[in-house]
Amino acid sequence: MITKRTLLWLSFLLSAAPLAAYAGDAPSVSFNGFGTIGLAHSDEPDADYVPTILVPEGVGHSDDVSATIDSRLGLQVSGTASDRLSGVLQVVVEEQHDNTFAPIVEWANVRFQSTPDSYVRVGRTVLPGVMASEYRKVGYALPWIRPPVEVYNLVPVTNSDGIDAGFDFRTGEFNHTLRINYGEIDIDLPDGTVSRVRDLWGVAASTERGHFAAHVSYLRADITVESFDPLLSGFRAFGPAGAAIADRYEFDDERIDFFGLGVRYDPGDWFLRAEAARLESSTIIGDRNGWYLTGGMRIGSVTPYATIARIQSDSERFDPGLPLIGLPAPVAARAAALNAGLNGVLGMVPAQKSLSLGLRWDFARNFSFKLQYDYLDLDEGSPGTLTNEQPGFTRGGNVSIVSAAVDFVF
Amino acid sequence: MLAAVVSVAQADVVVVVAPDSPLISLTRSQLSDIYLGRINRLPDGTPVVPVDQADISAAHSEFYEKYLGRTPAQIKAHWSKLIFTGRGQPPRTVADGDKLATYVAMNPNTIGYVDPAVVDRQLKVLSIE
Repeated sequence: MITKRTLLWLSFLLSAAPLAAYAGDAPSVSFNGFGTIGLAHSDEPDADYVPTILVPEGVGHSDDVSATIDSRLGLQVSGTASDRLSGVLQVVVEEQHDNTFAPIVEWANVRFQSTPDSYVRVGRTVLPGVMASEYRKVGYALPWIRPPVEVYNLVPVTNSDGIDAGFDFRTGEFNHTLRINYGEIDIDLPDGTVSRVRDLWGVAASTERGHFAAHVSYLRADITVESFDPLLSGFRAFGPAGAAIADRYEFDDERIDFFGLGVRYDPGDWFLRAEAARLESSTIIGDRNGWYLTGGMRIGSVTPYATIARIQSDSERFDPGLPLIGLPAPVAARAAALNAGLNGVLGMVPAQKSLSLGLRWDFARNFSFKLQYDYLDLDEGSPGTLTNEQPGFTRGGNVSIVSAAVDFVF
Repeated sequence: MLAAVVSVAQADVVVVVAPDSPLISLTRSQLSDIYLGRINRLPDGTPVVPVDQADISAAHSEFYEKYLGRTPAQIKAHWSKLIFTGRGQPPRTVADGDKLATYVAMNPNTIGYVDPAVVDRQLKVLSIE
Protein backbone atom coordinates (compact mmCIF):
# COMPACT_ATOMS: atom_id res chain seq x y z
CA MET A 1 0.00 0.00 0.00
CA ILE A 2 1.31 3.40 -0.89
CA THR A 3 0.88 5.59 2.14
CA LYS A 4 1.09 9.35 2.13
CA ARG A 5 4.38 9.04 3.96
CA THR A 6 5.81 6.85 1.23
CA LEU A 7 4.59 9.41 -1.24
CA LEU A 8 6.43 12.11 0.62
CA TRP A 9 9.69 10.21 0.70
CA LEU A 10 9.28 9.30 -2.92
CA SER A 11 8.88 12.93 -3.85
CA PHE A 12 11.77 13.74 -1.57
CA LEU A 13 13.96 11.45 -3.66
CA LEU A 14 12.43 12.68 -6.87
CA SER A 15 12.95 16.28 -5.88
CA ALA A 16 16.63 15.45 -5.57
CA ALA A 17 16.64 13.77 -8.98
CA PRO A 18 16.23 16.96 -11.03
CA LEU A 19 19.12 18.40 -9.06
CA ALA A 20 21.39 15.67 -10.30
CA ALA A 21 19.95 15.46 -13.78
CA TYR A 22 22.16 15.99 -16.77
CA ALA A 23 19.47 15.36 -19.32
CA GLY A 24 16.82 17.93 -20.22
CA ASP A 25 16.79 21.29 -21.86
CA ALA A 26 18.29 23.49 -19.19
CA PRO A 27 19.19 21.68 -16.00
CA SER A 28 19.99 24.11 -13.26
CA VAL A 29 20.15 24.25 -9.51
CA SER A 30 19.58 27.32 -7.42
CA PHE A 31 20.24 27.74 -3.77
CA ASN A 32 18.46 30.39 -1.70
CA GLY A 33 18.04 31.14 1.95
CA PHE A 34 16.24 33.41 4.34
CA GLY A 35 16.41 34.14 7.99
CA THR A 36 15.50 36.35 10.90
CA ILE A 37 17.33 37.12 14.10
CA GLY A 38 14.85 38.65 16.50
CA LEU A 39 14.53 39.71 20.11
CA ALA A 40 11.22 40.37 21.86
CA HIS A 41 10.15 41.57 25.29
CA SER A 42 6.71 41.46 26.90
CA ASP A 43 5.58 43.42 29.96
CA GLU A 44 3.31 40.55 31.11
CA PRO A 45 5.36 38.20 33.34
CA ASP A 46 2.52 35.75 34.04
CA ALA A 47 1.66 34.55 30.52
CA ASP A 48 3.43 33.98 27.21
CA TYR A 49 3.01 35.85 23.95
CA VAL A 50 3.58 33.32 21.16
CA PRO A 51 3.92 33.79 17.40
CA THR A 52 2.19 30.42 16.79
CA ILE A 53 0.21 28.07 19.01
CA LEU A 54 2.56 25.25 17.96
CA VAL A 55 5.37 26.30 20.30
CA PRO A 56 5.44 25.57 24.04
CA GLU A 57 7.07 28.80 25.17
CA GLY A 58 6.90 32.42 24.18
CA VAL A 59 7.96 35.71 25.67
CA GLY A 60 6.69 37.06 28.98
CA HIS A 61 6.50 34.24 31.49
CA SER A 62 9.02 31.79 30.01
CA ASP A 63 11.52 34.50 29.12
CA ASP A 64 11.59 38.18 29.89
CA VAL A 65 13.45 38.69 26.61
CA SER A 66 13.16 35.97 23.99
CA ALA A 67 15.45 35.34 21.05
CA THR A 68 13.48 32.30 19.97
CA ILE A 69 9.99 33.48 19.03
CA ASP A 70 10.97 35.26 15.81
CA SER A 71 14.36 33.80 14.92
CA ARG A 72 14.64 31.25 12.16
CA LEU A 73 16.75 30.11 9.22
CA GLY A 74 15.44 28.66 5.97
CA LEU A 75 17.41 27.02 3.19
CA GLN A 76 15.97 26.15 -0.17
CA VAL A 77 17.36 24.16 -3.07
CA SER A 78 15.44 24.31 -6.33
CA GLY A 79 16.37 22.17 -9.27
CA THR A 80 15.11 22.32 -12.82
CA ALA A 81 15.62 19.24 -14.95
CA SER A 82 13.74 20.50 -17.98
CA ASP A 83 11.08 22.98 -18.98
CA ARG A 84 8.56 20.63 -17.46
CA LEU A 85 10.17 19.03 -14.46
CA SER A 86 11.51 20.75 -11.38
CA GLY A 87 11.82 20.13 -7.68
CA VAL A 88 12.18 22.11 -4.50
CA LEU A 89 13.41 21.26 -1.03
CA GLN A 90 13.05 23.80 1.76
CA VAL A 91 14.33 23.15 5.26
CA VAL A 92 13.51 25.51 8.12
CA VAL A 93 15.17 25.74 11.50
CA GLU A 94 12.90 27.40 14.07
CA GLU A 95 11.41 26.79 17.50
CA GLN A 96 9.59 23.44 17.55
CA HIS A 97 6.78 21.96 19.65
CA ASP A 98 9.37 20.54 22.09
CA ASN A 99 11.32 23.79 22.38
CA THR A 100 14.20 22.50 20.28
CA PHE A 101 15.54 24.03 17.09
CA ALA A 102 15.60 20.83 15.04
CA PRO A 103 15.43 21.39 11.28
CA ILE A 104 12.16 20.42 9.66
CA VAL A 105 11.29 19.80 6.03
CA GLU A 106 8.92 22.61 5.13
CA TRP A 107 8.58 21.71 1.44
CA ALA A 108 9.79 18.76 -0.62
CA ASN A 109 7.99 18.40 -3.87
CA VAL A 110 8.32 17.64 -7.53
CA ARG A 111 6.61 19.96 -9.94
CA PHE A 112 5.41 18.96 -13.35
CA GLN A 113 4.57 21.84 -15.66
CA SER A 114 1.76 20.23 -17.59
CA THR A 115 1.21 23.24 -19.87
CA PRO A 116 2.79 26.72 -19.82
CA ASP A 117 -0.15 27.78 -17.63
CA SER A 118 -0.67 24.82 -15.34
CA TYR A 119 1.29 22.58 -13.02
CA VAL A 120 0.92 19.63 -10.70
CA ARG A 121 3.09 19.17 -7.63
CA VAL A 122 3.48 16.02 -5.57
CA GLY A 123 5.06 15.86 -2.14
CA ARG A 124 5.05 18.28 0.76
CA THR A 125 3.67 21.57 -0.49
CA VAL A 126 2.59 24.89 0.96
CA LEU A 127 -0.94 25.16 2.33
CA PRO A 128 -2.50 28.19 0.61
CA GLY A 129 -4.87 29.42 3.35
CA VAL A 130 -3.63 32.95 3.94
CA MET A 131 -2.39 35.64 1.58
CA ALA A 132 1.27 35.34 2.64
CA SER A 133 1.16 31.52 2.98
CA GLU A 134 4.18 30.97 0.78
CA TYR A 135 6.42 33.51 2.46
CA ARG A 136 4.98 33.76 5.97
CA LYS A 137 8.33 32.63 7.37
CA VAL A 138 10.42 34.90 5.12
CA GLY A 139 10.73 38.00 7.29
CA TYR A 140 12.40 40.01 4.54
CA ALA A 141 9.34 39.62 2.29
CA LEU A 142 6.92 40.63 5.06
CA PRO A 143 6.09 44.14 6.18
CA TRP A 144 5.97 43.11 9.88
CA ILE A 145 8.29 41.30 12.27
CA ARG A 146 5.71 38.50 12.28
CA PRO A 147 2.35 38.10 10.53
CA PRO A 148 -0.58 39.32 12.66
CA VAL A 149 -1.41 36.43 15.02
CA GLU A 150 -5.11 37.34 14.95
CA VAL A 151 -5.36 35.91 11.42
CA TYR A 152 -2.25 33.75 10.95
CA ASN A 153 -2.80 31.73 14.12
CA LEU A 154 -6.11 30.55 12.72
CA VAL A 155 -4.05 28.41 10.31
CA PRO A 156 -0.92 27.47 12.22
CA VAL A 157 -0.39 24.60 9.77
CA THR A 158 1.81 25.72 6.89
CA ASN A 159 2.12 22.63 4.67
CA SER A 160 0.61 19.29 3.76
CA ASP A 161 1.70 16.03 2.16
CA GLY A 162 -0.16 15.24 -1.01
CA ILE A 163 -0.79 16.74 -4.36
CA ASP A 164 -1.66 20.19 -5.64
CA ALA A 165 -2.38 21.75 -8.98
CA GLY A 166 -2.31 25.33 -10.19
CA PHE A 167 -3.69 27.14 -13.21
CA ASP A 168 -2.83 30.63 -14.42
CA PHE A 169 -5.19 32.58 -16.63
CA ARG A 170 -5.94 36.14 -17.62
CA THR A 171 -9.07 38.18 -18.03
CA GLY A 172 -8.33 41.62 -19.43
CA GLU A 173 -5.48 43.08 -17.40
CA PHE A 174 -6.00 40.73 -14.44
CA ASN A 175 -3.69 37.77 -13.90
CA HIS A 176 -5.40 34.99 -11.97
CA THR A 177 -4.05 31.90 -10.28
CA LEU A 178 -6.28 29.08 -9.09
CA ARG A 179 -4.86 26.37 -6.86
CA ILE A 180 -6.34 23.18 -5.52
CA ASN A 181 -4.66 20.86 -3.06
CA TYR A 182 -5.39 17.59 -1.33
CA GLY A 183 -3.27 16.13 1.42
CA GLU A 184 -2.75 15.32 5.05
CA ILE A 185 -0.26 16.15 7.77
CA ASP A 186 0.59 15.24 11.36
CA ILE A 187 1.26 18.14 13.69
CA ASP A 188 3.26 17.74 16.90
CA LEU A 189 1.62 19.81 19.61
CA PRO A 190 3.41 21.35 22.60
CA ASP A 191 1.51 19.09 25.03
CA GLY A 192 3.14 16.03 23.49
CA THR A 193 0.16 14.80 21.52
CA VAL A 194 0.03 14.57 17.75
CA SER A 195 -2.79 16.24 15.87
CA ARG A 196 -3.85 14.35 12.76
CA VAL A 197 -5.07 16.44 9.85
CA ARG A 198 -6.78 14.25 7.24
CA ASP A 199 -8.65 14.75 3.98
CA LEU A 200 -7.31 18.25 3.77
CA TRP A 201 -8.78 20.04 0.78
CA GLY A 202 -7.86 23.55 -0.19
CA VAL A 203 -8.91 25.90 -2.94
CA ALA A 204 -7.26 29.28 -3.32
CA ALA A 205 -7.75 31.91 -5.98
CA SER A 206 -5.65 35.00 -6.33
CA THR A 207 -5.69 37.81 -8.80
CA GLU A 208 -3.29 40.64 -9.55
CA ARG A 209 -3.54 43.73 -11.63
CA GLY A 210 -0.85 46.37 -11.49
CA HIS A 211 -0.56 47.45 -7.87
CA PHE A 212 -3.62 45.53 -6.72
CA ALA A 213 -3.81 41.92 -5.52
CA ALA A 214 -6.57 39.88 -3.92
CA HIS A 215 -6.73 36.41 -2.44
CA VAL A 216 -9.61 34.18 -1.46
CA SER A 217 -9.31 30.70 -0.02
CA TYR A 218 -11.20 27.82 1.51
CA LEU A 219 -9.69 24.93 3.43
CA ARG A 220 -11.43 21.97 5.04
CA ALA A 221 -10.05 19.00 6.89
CA ASP A 222 -10.97 16.26 9.34
CA ILE A 223 -8.83 16.92 12.39
CA THR A 224 -8.09 14.97 15.54
CA VAL A 225 -6.66 16.68 18.62
CA GLU A 226 -6.10 14.43 21.63
CA SER A 227 -5.29 17.20 24.09
CA PHE A 228 -8.85 17.31 25.44
CA ASP A 229 -9.40 13.53 25.63
CA PRO A 230 -8.71 13.18 29.39
CA LEU A 231 -11.30 15.87 30.12
CA LEU A 232 -13.90 14.49 27.73
CA SER A 233 -13.48 10.89 28.85
CA GLY A 234 -14.01 12.17 32.40
CA PHE A 235 -17.44 13.36 31.28
CA ARG A 236 -18.20 10.01 29.66
CA ALA A 237 -18.03 8.39 33.12
CA PHE A 238 -21.17 10.38 34.01
CA GLY A 239 -23.73 8.47 31.98
CA PRO A 240 -25.87 9.94 29.20
CA ALA A 241 -25.62 13.55 30.45
CA GLY A 242 -21.82 13.35 30.51
CA ALA A 243 -21.69 11.55 27.15
CA ALA A 244 -23.81 14.28 25.59
CA ILE A 245 -21.32 16.92 26.76
CA ALA A 246 -18.35 14.86 25.54
CA ASP A 247 -19.99 14.30 22.14
CA ARG A 248 -20.67 17.97 21.70
CA TYR A 249 -17.06 19.04 22.24
CA GLU A 250 -15.29 15.99 20.88
CA PHE A 251 -12.23 16.62 18.71
CA ASP A 252 -11.91 13.25 17.03
CA ASP A 253 -11.84 13.32 13.23
CA GLU A 254 -13.92 16.49 13.29
CA ARG A 255 -14.53 18.66 10.28
CA ILE A 256 -12.90 22.10 10.38
CA ASP A 257 -13.64 24.77 7.77
CA PHE A 258 -11.47 27.80 7.10
CA PHE A 259 -12.33 30.80 4.95
CA GLY A 260 -9.74 33.45 4.06
CA LEU A 261 -9.91 36.72 2.21
CA GLY A 262 -7.12 39.20 1.56
CA VAL A 263 -6.43 42.35 -0.44
CA ARG A 264 -3.26 44.31 -1.05
CA TYR A 265 -2.65 47.64 -2.76
CA ASP A 266 0.94 48.70 -3.25
CA PRO A 267 1.69 51.58 -5.62
CA GLY A 268 5.25 51.87 -4.25
CA ASP A 269 5.35 54.92 -2.01
CA TRP A 270 2.78 53.43 0.32
CA PHE A 271 0.83 50.22 0.77
CA LEU A 272 -2.27 48.83 2.39
CA ARG A 273 -3.08 45.21 3.06
CA ALA A 274 -5.91 43.56 4.89
CA GLU A 275 -7.06 40.03 5.56
CA ALA A 276 -10.01 38.45 7.25
CA ALA A 277 -10.43 34.81 8.16
CA ARG A 278 -12.99 32.57 9.79
CA LEU A 279 -12.51 29.16 11.35
CA GLU A 280 -15.58 27.00 11.92
CA SER A 281 -15.75 23.82 13.96
CA SER A 282 -18.18 21.92 16.13
CA THR A 283 -15.39 21.08 18.56
CA ILE A 284 -14.24 22.48 21.89
CA ILE A 285 -12.34 25.27 20.09
CA GLY A 286 -15.54 26.61 18.52
CA ASP A 287 -15.68 29.26 15.78
CA ARG A 288 -13.20 32.10 15.43
CA ASN A 289 -13.01 35.28 13.37
CA GLY A 290 -9.91 37.36 12.81
CA TRP A 291 -8.91 40.32 10.68
CA TYR A 292 -6.16 42.89 10.34
CA LEU A 293 -5.44 46.04 8.40
CA THR A 294 -1.88 47.25 7.80
CA GLY A 295 -0.71 50.42 6.14
CA GLY A 296 2.79 51.73 5.56
CA MET A 297 4.72 54.46 3.79
CA ARG A 298 8.08 54.06 2.07
CA ILE A 299 10.29 57.06 2.66
CA GLY A 300 13.64 56.24 1.08
CA SER A 301 14.98 53.16 2.82
CA VAL A 302 12.64 53.56 5.79
CA THR A 303 9.09 52.18 6.00
CA PRO A 304 6.96 53.11 9.00
CA TYR A 305 3.87 50.91 9.31
CA ALA A 306 0.85 50.40 11.53
CA THR A 307 -1.53 47.50 12.02
CA ILE A 308 -4.86 47.13 13.74
CA ALA A 309 -6.20 43.64 14.31
CA ARG A 310 -9.00 41.78 16.02
CA ILE A 311 -9.76 38.19 16.93
CA GLN A 312 -12.92 36.98 18.58
CA SER A 313 -15.16 33.98 18.86
CA ASP A 314 -18.88 33.75 18.41
CA SER A 315 -19.10 30.44 20.24
CA GLU A 316 -20.50 30.11 23.73
CA ARG A 317 -17.69 30.57 26.27
CA PHE A 318 -19.58 29.02 29.17
CA ASP A 319 -21.27 25.64 29.58
CA PRO A 320 -23.25 24.74 32.72
CA GLY A 321 -21.81 21.23 32.39
CA LEU A 322 -23.02 18.37 34.59
CA PRO A 323 -25.86 19.07 37.02
CA LEU A 324 -24.53 18.61 40.54
CA ILE A 325 -27.87 18.43 42.37
CA GLY A 326 -28.56 15.06 43.92
CA LEU A 327 -25.02 13.76 43.51
CA PRO A 328 -23.22 12.36 46.59
CA ALA A 329 -20.55 14.81 47.80
CA PRO A 330 -17.39 13.11 46.40
CA VAL A 331 -19.04 12.54 42.99
CA ALA A 332 -20.34 16.12 42.94
CA ALA A 333 -16.80 17.34 43.57
CA ARG A 334 -15.53 15.28 40.66
CA ALA A 335 -18.31 16.63 38.40
CA ALA A 336 -17.62 20.19 39.54
CA ALA A 337 -13.93 19.74 38.70
CA LEU A 338 -14.86 18.51 35.22
CA ASN A 339 -17.23 21.45 34.73
CA ALA A 340 -14.45 23.82 35.81
CA GLY A 341 -12.02 22.10 33.42
CA LEU A 342 -14.44 22.43 30.53
CA ASN A 343 -15.10 26.10 31.22
CA GLY A 344 -11.39 26.67 31.62
CA VAL A 345 -10.88 25.43 28.06
CA LEU A 346 -13.90 27.30 26.67
CA GLY A 347 -12.71 30.48 28.37
CA MET A 348 -9.26 30.19 26.74
CA VAL A 349 -10.77 31.25 23.43
CA PRO A 350 -8.62 34.11 22.14
CA ALA A 351 -10.40 37.46 21.97
CA GLN A 352 -8.41 40.66 21.66
CA LYS A 353 -7.83 43.86 19.77
CA SER A 354 -4.33 44.94 18.95
CA LEU A 355 -2.47 47.95 17.63
CA SER A 356 1.05 47.58 16.26
CA LEU A 357 3.43 50.34 15.24
CA GLY A 358 6.66 49.55 13.48
CA LEU A 359 9.52 50.73 11.38
CA ARG A 360 11.36 48.83 8.67
CA TRP A 361 14.76 49.99 7.55
CA ASP A 362 16.39 48.48 4.45
CA PHE A 363 19.88 49.24 5.70
CA ALA A 364 21.86 47.08 3.31
CA ARG A 365 21.33 44.95 0.21
CA ASN A 366 19.33 41.86 1.18
CA PHE A 367 18.97 42.98 4.79
CA SER A 368 16.25 44.76 6.66
CA PHE A 369 15.97 45.86 10.27
CA LYS A 370 12.60 46.13 12.00
CA LEU A 371 11.42 47.58 15.25
CA GLN A 372 7.85 46.88 16.35
CA TYR A 373 5.62 47.75 19.27
CA ASP A 374 2.45 45.71 19.86
CA TYR A 375 -0.30 46.73 22.22
CA LEU A 376 -2.80 43.96 22.99
CA ASP A 377 -6.14 44.86 24.51
CA LEU A 378 -7.56 41.55 25.78
CA ASP A 379 -11.32 41.11 25.86
CA GLU A 380 -12.85 40.78 29.29
CA GLY A 381 -12.38 37.26 30.64
CA SER A 382 -10.11 36.21 27.76
CA PRO A 383 -6.37 35.54 27.77
CA GLY A 384 -6.31 36.85 24.18
CA THR A 385 -3.68 35.06 22.11
CA LEU A 386 -1.49 34.56 25.20
CA THR A 387 -0.65 31.05 26.45
CA ASN A 388 0.95 29.49 29.57
CA GLU A 389 -1.31 31.44 31.93
CA GLN A 390 0.16 31.50 35.44
CA PRO A 391 -1.73 31.91 38.74
CA GLY A 392 -0.79 35.60 38.86
CA PHE A 393 -2.31 36.30 35.44
CA THR A 394 -5.59 38.17 35.16
CA ARG A 395 -7.58 37.72 31.98
CA GLY A 396 -8.65 40.87 30.21
CA GLY A 397 -6.30 43.81 30.67
CA ASN A 398 -3.58 44.72 28.23
CA VAL A 399 -0.07 43.70 27.26
CA SER A 400 2.78 45.47 25.47
CA ILE A 401 5.41 43.73 23.39
CA VAL A 402 8.51 45.36 21.95
CA SER A 403 10.46 43.50 19.28
CA ALA A 404 13.48 44.06 17.07
CA ALA A 405 14.63 41.89 14.19
CA VAL A 406 17.11 41.67 11.36
CA ASP A 407 15.85 39.82 8.27
CA PHE A 408 18.01 38.61 5.43
CA VAL A 409 17.75 36.71 2.18
CA PHE A 410 20.37 35.21 -0.07
CA MET B 1 27.65 71.10 -19.92
CA LEU B 2 29.12 67.66 -20.47
CA ALA B 3 27.98 66.62 -17.02
CA ALA B 4 24.45 67.71 -17.86
CA VAL B 5 24.43 65.63 -21.07
CA VAL B 6 25.73 62.59 -19.23
CA SER B 7 23.15 62.86 -16.48
CA VAL B 8 20.31 63.24 -19.02
CA ALA B 9 21.58 60.16 -20.86
CA GLN B 10 21.71 58.16 -17.62
CA ALA B 11 18.22 59.16 -16.66
CA ASP B 12 16.79 57.72 -19.88
CA VAL B 13 17.12 53.99 -19.69
CA VAL B 14 15.44 52.43 -22.74
CA VAL B 15 13.84 49.05 -23.23
CA VAL B 16 15.43 46.94 -25.97
CA VAL B 17 14.97 43.72 -27.92
CA ALA B 18 16.87 42.00 -30.73
CA PRO B 19 16.41 43.67 -34.16
CA ASP B 20 14.52 40.67 -35.58
CA SER B 21 12.07 40.54 -32.66
CA PRO B 22 8.44 41.02 -33.78
CA LEU B 23 7.87 43.41 -30.86
CA ILE B 24 7.52 47.13 -31.52
CA SER B 25 5.89 48.38 -28.36
CA LEU B 26 4.64 47.27 -24.97
CA THR B 27 2.29 48.81 -22.48
CA ARG B 28 3.73 49.82 -19.16
CA SER B 29 1.64 47.18 -17.41
CA GLN B 30 2.87 44.46 -19.78
CA LEU B 31 6.46 45.49 -19.11
CA SER B 32 5.70 45.46 -15.40
CA ASP B 33 4.10 41.99 -15.58
CA ILE B 34 7.09 40.65 -17.54
CA TYR B 35 9.65 41.94 -15.05
CA LEU B 36 7.65 40.86 -12.00
CA GLY B 37 7.35 37.31 -13.33
CA ARG B 38 3.59 37.46 -13.78
CA ILE B 39 3.63 36.64 -17.49
CA ASN B 40 6.12 34.94 -19.76
CA ARG B 41 4.19 35.35 -23.01
CA LEU B 42 2.36 38.21 -24.64
CA PRO B 43 -1.36 37.88 -25.43
CA ASP B 44 -0.50 36.83 -29.01
CA GLY B 45 1.61 33.96 -27.65
CA THR B 46 5.05 35.52 -28.25
CA PRO B 47 7.36 34.34 -25.48
CA VAL B 48 9.31 37.05 -23.64
CA VAL B 49 12.24 36.46 -21.33
CA PRO B 50 13.37 39.45 -19.25
CA VAL B 51 17.03 40.13 -18.60
CA ASP B 52 18.25 42.25 -15.71
CA GLN B 53 21.34 44.27 -15.01
CA ALA B 54 23.10 43.72 -11.68
CA ASP B 55 21.08 45.28 -8.86
CA ILE B 56 24.00 47.51 -7.89
CA SER B 57 23.97 49.20 -11.31
CA ALA B 58 22.48 52.65 -11.84
CA ALA B 59 20.50 51.33 -14.83
CA HIS B 60 18.78 48.76 -12.58
CA SER B 61 17.39 51.26 -10.12
CA GLU B 62 16.51 53.72 -12.88
CA PHE B 63 14.65 51.10 -14.86
CA TYR B 64 12.61 49.86 -11.91
CA GLU B 65 11.86 53.31 -10.60
CA LYS B 66 10.99 54.82 -13.99
CA TYR B 67 9.00 52.00 -15.57
CA LEU B 68 7.68 49.99 -12.61
CA GLY B 69 7.58 52.65 -9.90
CA ARG B 70 9.41 50.38 -7.49
CA THR B 71 12.70 50.64 -5.62
CA PRO B 72 15.41 47.94 -5.82
CA ALA B 73 14.58 46.91 -2.22
CA GLN B 74 10.93 46.41 -3.18
CA ILE B 75 11.96 44.35 -6.19
CA LYS B 76 14.17 42.23 -3.97
CA ALA B 77 11.28 41.72 -1.51
CA HIS B 78 8.97 40.82 -4.41
CA TRP B 79 11.33 38.11 -5.66
CA SER B 80 11.90 36.87 -2.13
CA LYS B 81 8.20 36.00 -2.12
CA LEU B 82 8.32 34.23 -5.46
CA ILE B 83 11.63 32.42 -5.02
CA PHE B 84 10.43 30.85 -1.80
CA THR B 85 7.16 29.82 -3.38
CA GLY B 86 8.95 27.74 -5.97
CA ARG B 87 6.82 29.77 -8.38
CA GLY B 88 9.65 31.50 -10.09
CA GLN B 89 13.17 32.78 -10.28
CA PRO B 90 14.11 36.41 -10.91
CA PRO B 91 15.28 37.39 -14.42
CA ARG B 92 18.71 36.32 -15.56
CA THR B 93 21.16 38.99 -14.48
CA VAL B 94 24.10 40.26 -16.49
CA ALA B 95 26.85 42.48 -15.13
CA ASP B 96 26.33 45.67 -17.13
CA GLY B 97 24.74 47.38 -20.13
CA ASP B 98 27.30 46.12 -22.66
CA LYS B 99 26.82 42.52 -21.61
CA LEU B 100 23.05 42.97 -21.68
CA ALA B 101 23.21 44.40 -25.20
CA THR B 102 25.25 41.43 -26.41
CA TYR B 103 22.97 38.91 -24.70
CA VAL B 104 19.70 40.41 -25.93
CA ALA B 105 21.03 40.82 -29.48
CA MET B 106 21.84 37.11 -29.62
CA ASN B 107 18.64 35.83 -27.97
CA PRO B 108 15.56 36.82 -29.99
CA ASN B 109 12.94 36.22 -27.25
CA THR B 110 14.69 38.29 -24.63
CA ILE B 111 14.03 41.83 -23.52
CA GLY B 112 16.31 44.14 -21.60
CA TYR B 113 17.03 47.73 -20.69
CA VAL B 114 20.13 49.83 -21.30
CA ASP B 115 21.47 53.32 -21.31
CA PRO B 116 20.75 54.77 -24.82
CA ALA B 117 24.51 55.22 -25.34
CA VAL B 118 24.79 51.42 -25.56
CA VAL B 119 22.13 51.10 -28.28
CA ASP B 120 23.49 50.34 -31.74
CA ARG B 121 22.31 48.43 -34.82
CA GLN B 122 22.26 45.19 -32.84
CA LEU B 123 19.31 46.38 -30.77
CA LYS B 124 15.82 47.73 -31.31
CA VAL B 125 14.35 50.22 -28.83
CA LEU B 126 10.75 49.48 -27.86
CA SER B 127 8.27 52.22 -27.29
CA ILE B 128 6.59 51.91 -23.91
CA GLU B 129 3.07 53.30 -23.81
